Amino acid sequence: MGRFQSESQQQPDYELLSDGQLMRRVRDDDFDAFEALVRRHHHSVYGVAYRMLGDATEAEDLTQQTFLRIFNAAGRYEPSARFTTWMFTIVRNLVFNELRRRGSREHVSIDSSEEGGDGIGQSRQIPDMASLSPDAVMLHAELESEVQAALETLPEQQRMAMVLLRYEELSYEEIARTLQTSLASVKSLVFRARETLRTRLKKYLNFTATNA
Amino acid sequence: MDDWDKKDELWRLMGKVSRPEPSQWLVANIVREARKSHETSWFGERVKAFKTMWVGVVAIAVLFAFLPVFYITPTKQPAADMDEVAEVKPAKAAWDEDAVLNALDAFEEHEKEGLWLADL
Repeated sequence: MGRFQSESQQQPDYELLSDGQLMRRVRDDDFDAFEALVRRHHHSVYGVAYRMLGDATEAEDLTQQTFLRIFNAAGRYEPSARFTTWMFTIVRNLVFNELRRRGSREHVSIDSSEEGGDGIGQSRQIPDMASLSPDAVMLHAELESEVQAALETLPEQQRMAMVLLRYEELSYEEIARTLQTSLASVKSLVFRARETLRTRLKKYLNFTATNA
Repeated sequence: MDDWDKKDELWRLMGKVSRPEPSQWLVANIVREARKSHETSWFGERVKAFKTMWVGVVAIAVLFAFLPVFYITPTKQPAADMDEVAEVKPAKAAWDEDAVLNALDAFEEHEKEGLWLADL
């Protein structure tokens, strides 16, 4: 323990270090570097896990597993690709394992997904709700649950591609590397996902178009 | 299948959904678990090294314990066995060679007189 304390006295500002530099420090058992890495990326990992699994507790558990894997694999980490691509590949593997473990429960049909709004949005941070009218707050909550429910109707790969593209703003190339598939395949996945979501969220699309 | 236009209605609608927030303890929990995992693996490695060392020490002790036994065990046969073999050979050499040759000569003569060799 003393070793870490004495090192921290001469440590640089971790916020300024790149992911690769932090990983090199993590390899040397630098827990402060690891904490900086977790602080930097835990929202993204949690966000993807939550949108894929639709459950706050499972999403936190998966986030923890992801970072523990990163910590344990730090010695083998090769900075050939972007750190986030490697990180989301781990997330993807854990998420798909979890969905397979759940079995067919997750593969809800479009008809049965009407009840998918239960419990969704419990762990969301509602942005500045005090400034909104009660109607607007309700509409926002409804929109969130509907978007999540619509996402959950998508097959695993389409959902993952959509979440990484829209919410993590990864490029198509990075998504292809994360999902270990071709660029053309990713474009096809996103195209089909968009068509499904457009149909599912038609009511809200019209509403936002008229209120824009 | 072109890249998704960020002015697209669906893109904007999905952007209205707020970011899910993890609990404020998540980072601390992850770092604590990593420390625990690191300490466990550190301790495990030491236990493994300790076990390996003891297995080596026991193996060497056993080897040294049995070395005197190898040195005491005789590697040559007793002289009495050698004498017994030496006695057998002269017994074989004691055959009467003349008697054997005479017997063979007699057999050859008998065969020459035999009817079944007459055609040869």
